[in-house]
Amino acid sequence: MRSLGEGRAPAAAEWAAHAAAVALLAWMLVRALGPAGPAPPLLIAEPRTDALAALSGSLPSRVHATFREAPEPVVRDWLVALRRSGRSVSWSGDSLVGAAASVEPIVAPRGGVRVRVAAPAGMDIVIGDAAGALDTVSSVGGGATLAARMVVGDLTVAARGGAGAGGAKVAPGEHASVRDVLVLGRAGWESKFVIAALEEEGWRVTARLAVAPGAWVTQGTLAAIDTSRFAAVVAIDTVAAEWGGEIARYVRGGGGFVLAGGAAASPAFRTIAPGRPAMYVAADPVAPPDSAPRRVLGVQPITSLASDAVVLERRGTAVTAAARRVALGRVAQIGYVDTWRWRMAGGEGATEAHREWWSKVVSSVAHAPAQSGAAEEGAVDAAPHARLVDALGEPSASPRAARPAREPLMSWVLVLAVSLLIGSWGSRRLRGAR
Amino acid sequence: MTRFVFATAQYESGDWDSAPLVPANIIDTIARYTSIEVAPTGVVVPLASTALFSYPFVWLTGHLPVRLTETEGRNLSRYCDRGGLMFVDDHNHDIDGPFHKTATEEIERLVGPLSELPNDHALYSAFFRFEDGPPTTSHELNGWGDNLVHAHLHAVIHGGRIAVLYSNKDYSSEWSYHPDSKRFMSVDNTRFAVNLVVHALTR
Repeated sequence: MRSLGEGRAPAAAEWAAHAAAVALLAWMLVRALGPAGPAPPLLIAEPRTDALAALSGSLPSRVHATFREAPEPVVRDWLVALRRSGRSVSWSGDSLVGAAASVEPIVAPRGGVRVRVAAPAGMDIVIGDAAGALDTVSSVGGGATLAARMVVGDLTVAARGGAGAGGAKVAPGEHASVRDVLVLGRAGWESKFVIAALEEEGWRVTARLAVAPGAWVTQGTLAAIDTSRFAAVVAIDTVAAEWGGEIARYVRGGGGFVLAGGAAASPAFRTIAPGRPAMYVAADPVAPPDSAPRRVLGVQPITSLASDAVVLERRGTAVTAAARRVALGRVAQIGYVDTWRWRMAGGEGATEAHREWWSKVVSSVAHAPAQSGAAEEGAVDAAPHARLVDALGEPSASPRAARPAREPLMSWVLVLAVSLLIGSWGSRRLRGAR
Repeated sequence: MTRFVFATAQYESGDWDSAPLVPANIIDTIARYTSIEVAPTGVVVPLASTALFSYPFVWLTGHLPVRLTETEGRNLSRYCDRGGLMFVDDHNHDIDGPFHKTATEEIERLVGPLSELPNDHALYSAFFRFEDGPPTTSHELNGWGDNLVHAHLHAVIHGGRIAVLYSNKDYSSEWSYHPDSKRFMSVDNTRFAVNLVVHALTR
């Protein structure tokens, strides 16, 4: 027969377990009925303006947009406005790739534009305009450059590859007004053929070539050397030093200057030249090959480069072309001597290649008054991915992936409460109590 | 950097070396009047050689018929396309002569049509000023050759530049003498050669 004391202890334990279980369940009930957590965000895939407009009256407090392509500026602005109205706006785009483009008019008589695209290496970049695709290039080292003679409407850039896709849209703007080129030097084959090359590419050339002490052959009218008259000055040799002070002022005021061959040896150009011409290395006695025509030309390598000079071309370790900015202007220094041999004695395409090369050299420094081509607001977007990050912050994980896992504490509390109830009930059954 | 080298064109037919004193005389004239760096001696450059392309100005003369070989013709055509200037002078001073007839045929076949060069062309003011166009020669005034005083030179123009300059005036005879003899002249009759070279070097 059991004593009274033997029955009290289990009953007290059962009661305590039961009470604890009830208390835990009550706590869970209170917690469940308590203030709600944040509502899940409204997911909008590839938002478009019409869909956004339709939702405008009933948007929840949280919105998450997903993109396969960077949104149009108006969509981006709409999301920014939403955020400023107090809602939480996030976005994600796993296949979205940062791409950006810039375009600038080529300062040359034949005009055209130079498009620079930034995109991850290895992507295919399709550049087109309103009339269709202009070219497809591969992104090397984080970008690509394309020159186009004629563009219809805005330029679109689409970068595609294994990592995803991105794009940009830019307006080419107005063609720069191109002024004359002034060529200064001695009468000689280099002067003649540089002038010929530039004129054949469409440049208007003014020239002043020395033929005897005090005697010059003049082409065009040489008044003051300033940016209102000349896009660039080309110094074929040290004769140009006679205008050294004027040229230096012209360059600082925004003019372009090309120092060819040994012209940079003149003290008059020491402060603006990218470097100093070294000893002359004679030309190879072979016809300049089409594949690398400048490789066999005579050259005065450029040494003692200014700290801000940029090397444009090398032959082996020798610098053969360099450039630098001087105040508002640009100066290019060409080490090659007697480039006319390339035109006269080179391969089948030598004449065209020679004049295109000289035109590019002049174009690279040429001054052209900017003519703003104000694009229609919102019509272009040069760096949509960057602007999206700037406007809405870094992308976040999509809400489905970010949804928090079930709260572990509540699970454990529930297990504990059930265990206590089962234990209490089992104990009572074992001792025969009801 | 490159000095001007007076080049005489050598061709297989005819007598390309009929005025051997002209190069030295013109070199002397260039050195006398200008600061152009000029090689003290001229060169003879075969039209069939790729060396032709190292001399953007060449002088061609002769009395006899000119028939260029295929290689000579191809080189001449390419030379003029690239900006070379060939000065051709009829050493016969005779528009009925074999040189004139054949040389002009070859030029027109290979380079392009010859046309009168206006007497106000930049060539005539490139250094010395020749108001009336090309200076007459004693051979014209003496009635030799075709008995004509030719008022114009002729030229093939490529892209606004002279590719071939053709003369019936017989400068080959006029300038073929030793340079020292200039001191006996009241007016140096080679001055027009300075214009030829300066124009070639600047246009």
